[in-house]
Amino acid sequence: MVMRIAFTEELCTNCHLCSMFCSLAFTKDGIFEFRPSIARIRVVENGDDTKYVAHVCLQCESPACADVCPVEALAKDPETGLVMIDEDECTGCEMCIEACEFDCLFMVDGKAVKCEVCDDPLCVRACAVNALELTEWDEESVLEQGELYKEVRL
Amino acid sequence: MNGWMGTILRIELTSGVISKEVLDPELARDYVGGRGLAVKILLDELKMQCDPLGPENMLIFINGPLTVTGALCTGRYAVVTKSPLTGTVCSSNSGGYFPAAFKTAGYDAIIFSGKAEKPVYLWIDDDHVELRDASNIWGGDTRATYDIIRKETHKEARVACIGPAGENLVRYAAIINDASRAAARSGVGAVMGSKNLKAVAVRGTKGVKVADPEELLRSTIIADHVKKADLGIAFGEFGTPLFVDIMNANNIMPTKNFQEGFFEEGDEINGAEIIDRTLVRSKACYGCALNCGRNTRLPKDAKYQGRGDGPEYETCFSLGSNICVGDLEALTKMNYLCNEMGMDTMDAGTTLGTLMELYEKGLVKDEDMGFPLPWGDADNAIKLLTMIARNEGFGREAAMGGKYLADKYGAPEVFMGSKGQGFAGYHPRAMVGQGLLYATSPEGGNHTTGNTIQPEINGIPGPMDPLTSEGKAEMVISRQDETAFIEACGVCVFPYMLMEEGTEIIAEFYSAVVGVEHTEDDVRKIGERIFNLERLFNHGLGFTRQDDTLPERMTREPHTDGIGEGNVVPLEEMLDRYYKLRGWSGEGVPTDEKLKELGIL
Repeated sequence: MVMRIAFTEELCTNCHLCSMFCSLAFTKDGIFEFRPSIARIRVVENGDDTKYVAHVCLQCESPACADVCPVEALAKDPETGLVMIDEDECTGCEMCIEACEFDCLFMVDGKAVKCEVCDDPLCVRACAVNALELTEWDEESVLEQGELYKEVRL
Repeated sequence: MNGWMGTILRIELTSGVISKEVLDPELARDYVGGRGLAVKILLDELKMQCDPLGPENMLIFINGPLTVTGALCTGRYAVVTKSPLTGTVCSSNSGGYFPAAFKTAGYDAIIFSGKAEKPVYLWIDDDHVELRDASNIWGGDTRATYDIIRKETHKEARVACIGPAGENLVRYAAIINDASRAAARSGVGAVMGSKNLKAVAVRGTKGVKVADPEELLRSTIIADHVKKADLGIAFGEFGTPLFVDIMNANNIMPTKNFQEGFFEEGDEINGAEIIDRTLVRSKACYGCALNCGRNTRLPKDAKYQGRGDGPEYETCFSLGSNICVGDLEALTKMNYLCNEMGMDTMDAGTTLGTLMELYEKGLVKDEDMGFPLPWGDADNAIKLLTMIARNEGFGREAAMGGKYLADKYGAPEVFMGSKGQGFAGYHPRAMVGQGLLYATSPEGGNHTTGNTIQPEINGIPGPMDPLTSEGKAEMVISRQDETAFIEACGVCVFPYMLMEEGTEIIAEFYSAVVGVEHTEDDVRKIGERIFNLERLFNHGLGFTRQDDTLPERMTREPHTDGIGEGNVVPLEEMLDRYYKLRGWSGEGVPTDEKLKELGIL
């Protein structure tokens, strides 16, 4: 089965703890830092402060990001069903960023990054209001979350 | 450095020179950050006798080593300067999203000095720092300023700015960040206005290094624990206006300019009422698990219109019970107005309270103001708030604050505050430790330098009689020292003050972030050092025991309600013991011996 991070907008309080703790998982060279700007999950507000939306990869069935990647750095893992990114291959052309209509890939230090679903995701652990959940992929909830992402853009 | 970014930004506004310097690690170790480090900088550099609204005053924006670190509630910054309201050193702090952006741009502090020739704003995009012309936004309210500057700079920019009140040097003008959070107290917005500095906009993409991330992961568990405690649950659901019920139930809800301690219409302006009538959704500051913020909107059919945040408890008191306004919609409108104009709701409320009592006594008349101002008159209160911010008519006088008005109109006893700053929403006659706290706070009537609600009202850690002086000096000293450390860390005092073991937890987080083991006693010592430093600063300006006062209403007029009926604050008795335990002279001056012990001398 394919897992993904599900997001419930109604519960979100815009605290950004998810991106803070996510970033901790991706710091390098034995240095630990909270650096939300490298996170694989990003929270944005809509214009009048009535919606807070955490953008995190939906693990699409046929991912547009992988389709457009000119160097095949993005691909679905046949075993886990997760859309994975090969950092060494990525040239930073940003075509995937343009192609993702859900705004779920981000540029970090010249490379595209995205959520590849950690084993014990720190974003889920950090979310104090249970707005994030590690769940099994299902079409209905993915479509719903995708609509939200198209409404409140990054 | 773990915790600190290691860089201080200096902006000399007269010349426009921008420079960066390395943070001295010894100063960081001894004074941490926030008000601690900032007061140390002021003590070393500021011409103390300067006019707070003159170019010589310095204005410091500062975060702390725990800001954006995953410890509990780490989204705060402080503004530290010499106050135009009190004449003392002051520290006013705020949450929201600006503080995190400011820190991740790579700076522990921004020090402003001088005065720009014409209106400017500062734009910081990580290492890129520039002063920009602000002529087109001067005069604008804080929401418009926020929107325009984000368009001019970056959609991810976070903005702290002043409104018309700061520009017009209202003595209790605030600095508003993220369009709704306020570094509200002591007139920090007026200092910013006096420097022709309209706003600071920041985008930050850097990281905050920490020594022990495993320990910090525990914060998510502790947050859960806080949220599941009784007070935590209620706090998350109702936000700070929950306190309306607690204060009213204990007859410490200041009402009618502190004449009384129970507000009959409390049920109309409490947390439950906000949920029913104005709440859009709860929100949190950056990096906070508690979500006590309230995004609200006035209903379409309401008499007043608008949207924004709040009211928070302190506003329910200051512009609610304190001036006898029991109409949530009017109160919310006044809150929005203060945020838009960039004005402290608390001193706005205590100023109006003073004025309404002067009006009741016939000392201020209709012809002075151009309209009547009886208790509970929300329409004229709204009118006056706008006049204050806009520097119009009688608003010019009210802009000077409650103490000024009470002195000018011949009844100094009706100003409810200390050192010129209005009290917070806790009536000291029925929780006398709070009275001692107000009297000895570095910037007067203040609710953030160590609130005594937990020990005196909620009985945490153990039962304590709120009506007597017993144990109060010890308790106030420990609350003040603990709070000084917590605030210096750049975190919110709430979770730590809610938890019985809060000091132990902040010591653990601090150790985990900076990588140097600190015990509870160690952090209390740092807090004591900071508190003494502030005292030393104020003493240099001539402040002594004779300024550690409360109005006679607190010390002579008996309390009117509840178990505290008939009680007064035994201030002098508490002060004697407090100074002695502090190691200060009988006049309230830190002794050389104490200063040496703390490493200040």
